[in-house]
Amino acid sequence: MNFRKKLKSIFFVLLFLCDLCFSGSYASQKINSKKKFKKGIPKLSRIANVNVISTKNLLMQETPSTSTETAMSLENKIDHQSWSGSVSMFNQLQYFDLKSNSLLNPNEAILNLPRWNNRAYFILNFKSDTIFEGKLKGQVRPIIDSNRYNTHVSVITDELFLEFPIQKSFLFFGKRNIRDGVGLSFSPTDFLGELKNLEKSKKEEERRIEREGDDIIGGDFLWENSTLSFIYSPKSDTSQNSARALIKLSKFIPTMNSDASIQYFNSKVSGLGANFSTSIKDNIVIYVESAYRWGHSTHSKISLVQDGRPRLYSVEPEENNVSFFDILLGGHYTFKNNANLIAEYYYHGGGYSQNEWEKIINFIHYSNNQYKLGLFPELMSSYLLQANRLMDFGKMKQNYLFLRYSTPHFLDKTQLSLIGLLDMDDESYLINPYAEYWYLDNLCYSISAYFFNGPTDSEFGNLNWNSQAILSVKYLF
Amino acid sequence: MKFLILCISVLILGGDRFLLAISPQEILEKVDQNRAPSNTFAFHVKINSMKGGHTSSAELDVKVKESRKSLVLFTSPAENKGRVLLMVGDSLWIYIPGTRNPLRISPQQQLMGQVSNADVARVVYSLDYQADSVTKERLDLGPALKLTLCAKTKGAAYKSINLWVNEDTLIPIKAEFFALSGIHLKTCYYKNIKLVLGKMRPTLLEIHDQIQKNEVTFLDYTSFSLNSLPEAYYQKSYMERLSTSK
Repeated sequence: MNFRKKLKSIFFVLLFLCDLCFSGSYASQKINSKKKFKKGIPKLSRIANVNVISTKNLLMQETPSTSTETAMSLENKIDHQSWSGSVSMFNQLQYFDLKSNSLLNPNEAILNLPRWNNRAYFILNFKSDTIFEGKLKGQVRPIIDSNRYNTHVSVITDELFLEFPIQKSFLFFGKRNIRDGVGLSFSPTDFLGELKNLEKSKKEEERRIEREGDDIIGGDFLWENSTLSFIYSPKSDTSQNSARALIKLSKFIPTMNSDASIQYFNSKVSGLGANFSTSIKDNIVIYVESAYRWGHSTHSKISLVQDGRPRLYSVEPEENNVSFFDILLGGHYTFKNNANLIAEYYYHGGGYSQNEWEKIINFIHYSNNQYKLGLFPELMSSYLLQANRLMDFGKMKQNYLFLRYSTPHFLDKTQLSLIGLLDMDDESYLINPYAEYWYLDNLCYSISAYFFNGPTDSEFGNLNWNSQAILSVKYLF
Repeated sequence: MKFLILCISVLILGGDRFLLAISPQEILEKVDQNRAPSNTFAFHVKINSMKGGHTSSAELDVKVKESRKSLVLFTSPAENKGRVLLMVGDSLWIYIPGTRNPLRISPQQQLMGQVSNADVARVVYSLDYQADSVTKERLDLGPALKLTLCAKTKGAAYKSINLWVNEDTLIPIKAEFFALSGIHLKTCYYKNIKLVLGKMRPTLLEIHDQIQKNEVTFLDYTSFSLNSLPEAYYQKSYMERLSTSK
C-alpha cells in the first residue's frame, strides 16, 4: 500500500509539472502571434485552444500563473514549437431490424429501442512540440448521436498526454488509450481496456481506438529488439477500476523470426499475460495470446431468493474470488490473389458456464412468461430490464470461433470482407459482410450488416434485433 | 597442341578478366552499393501506378538500418497517411492509424497494390538472393552483365531475378522478376542515373507488370541522406511514435 501511495504522489507531482509546462507553452504561443504553423494548421489552431481547456479539466488542478521569466525563456524556444494534426469526419447511420416480440423485450413493451440511429462525429488528432523535446499528443471526439427519441451531444477526450524522450526511451503521462494484444477478435491481454465498451459497429481493427483512455504515467525503455514498459493508473472516481499497474517485456527473436511478450498486471483482478506471434513461410502468420487471471471480481449475479408466487429474484453485484484462464489461438493465411483469411479460436474462462447461462435464461423465461400473462407486470418488467442490462453479445460465453475472409485490393479502391463469429457453446452465430469504397483519396463509403442467428435461448439468438445495417461515410481533411 | 589450346583459352577468357576476378555474388554486392549509398540511410520515394487510364500515387519516407531493417512511413495519400511498415529480416509489421496496435503480417500481404512491401523496404538484392551465374550480353544500351539470382530467404519477394547491369559501372539497367511457379511477374528498368551521395545511382524505377500488361509503376527516389534512427527504434513499440512524428 505504501508503494502505491508513493507512486500516486509521484503521479500527481508529474501531472502538476505537466500542467505547468503546458500552460507555459500555451502562454508562449500567445506572446508570439506571428508564429507560423505547419501546413494545414490554421484549421487546427482552434482545436488547440479547445484542448488547452480540456487539459485543465482533465488535470483537475488550478493552473499556476506563468511568470514573466518563464514566458520569456519559453519565447526563445517558440521557433521550435509547432502544432500539427489531422481531422476526420464520420457519419454512421445504423438500422436495427427489431424483433416485435423478443424474449427480453416482449411486444416491445419493456424498452423503447429506436430502429434508426445516426452518429455524426469528428476525430481530431493533434500533437505539439513542447519544452525539453517533449510532445503533447491528443485525440478528441465530438459526437452527435440522434434517434427518434433523443439527441445526445458529447465530447470525449480519448487521449491527452505528454511524452518525453530520454535517450532511446520515452516517459509519458496524462490520458492515454493503451491497446495491447496480438489477437484480432478478442484480446485477453488488453488488460487496461478490458472494462471499456467496444464500438461493435466498427471493424475489428478499429474497435479499440475510439475509446476513452486512462489517466496513466508510464515509460517505454527500448533496447535493440526489446522493450520494457511500465504503466501505473491511479484509481479514478469515474471508472469502476481500482489502481492498476502493468509491467511488460516485449522481445523480438530474430533467429526464430518471432516476437513475444510477457506482462504482469496488478489490479482487483490481476493477470499474467503472454503473447507470441511468428511468420511461417511467406504467407502464414500464427499467434497466441493468453492470460491467467486471479483476484476479486464484482459481477451481477441472479439468485432465486424465494420460490413462491411470484418468484423473488435478486440481481445484485456480488464480489467473488475468481481465477480463470483466457487463451486465443489464431492465424492469417494470404492467398496468391492477396486475399486474406484469418481464423481465431478463443477460450474465455471468465465467461458464463453452461450452468450459469441456464440460470440466466430460466430467469428471463420466467419473467417473460409472467409478463405476457399479465401477472405482476411491474416486478416482471423490472426483472426484464435488469436482464437487458446483463445481456451483451460476443464475449458472454466461453468458446468462440472467429473467421474473416477479406480482399484488401478488390477492384483497386474497394475492400470486401466477410466475418463469421460462432458461439461454440450454443452454436449461435453472427455473419458480418462488409464493403468499403474509396471514392476519392480522402473520401470513403462503407456498408456493413450483422445477421444474428440462433435459438432464442442462445447468445446471438436472444438479442432484441435480428440484424442491423450500417452505412458510413468517412472524410479525411 | 595442348599449349595452343591453353593459349586460345587464355585469350578467350582474358577478355572476361572481370568475370574471372570476382564471383557473381561479389558482383551483386557491388551492384547493391550502386543502388544504396550505405547500409544505413534514408530516402523519400514517390510511387505512381498506372492501370489502364487510372493513376494512383503514394509517397513514403523510408529509413533503412544495416540493410536488414526498414521503417517505412506513408506520407500520402490521405487514406494511407501515417501508416508505418516495419521490416526486420523476414518479419513484417504494419501500424495503421485509427486502428489497434501494430500487427504482424506475412511478407506476401501487399499494402500497395502492384508494389510488394519488399520492393520498397528492401533496397539491396544480396541479402535475399544468391547470384548463381553471370554472363555477358549486349543490350540496346550497350554491353551488360546478366546476373541470375535465386531467393535464399523466406522474406524474398520473388523466386528468382534476372538482373542486367552496366558492364563498366555495375549500375543496374533492367531486372526481370519471377514467381515460385516460374511465371514472369514484372520487368523493372532502372533510370534517371544521378549523382547521389558521391556516386552515380539510379533514382527512377519503371516497373511493368507482365501479367496485367497495362499496369506500369514508377518509383521516384529523392532526398537521400545518411541519417537514420537508433537501432532500438526498429521495433513494434516505436511504430506509433513514427506515425505521429510528422
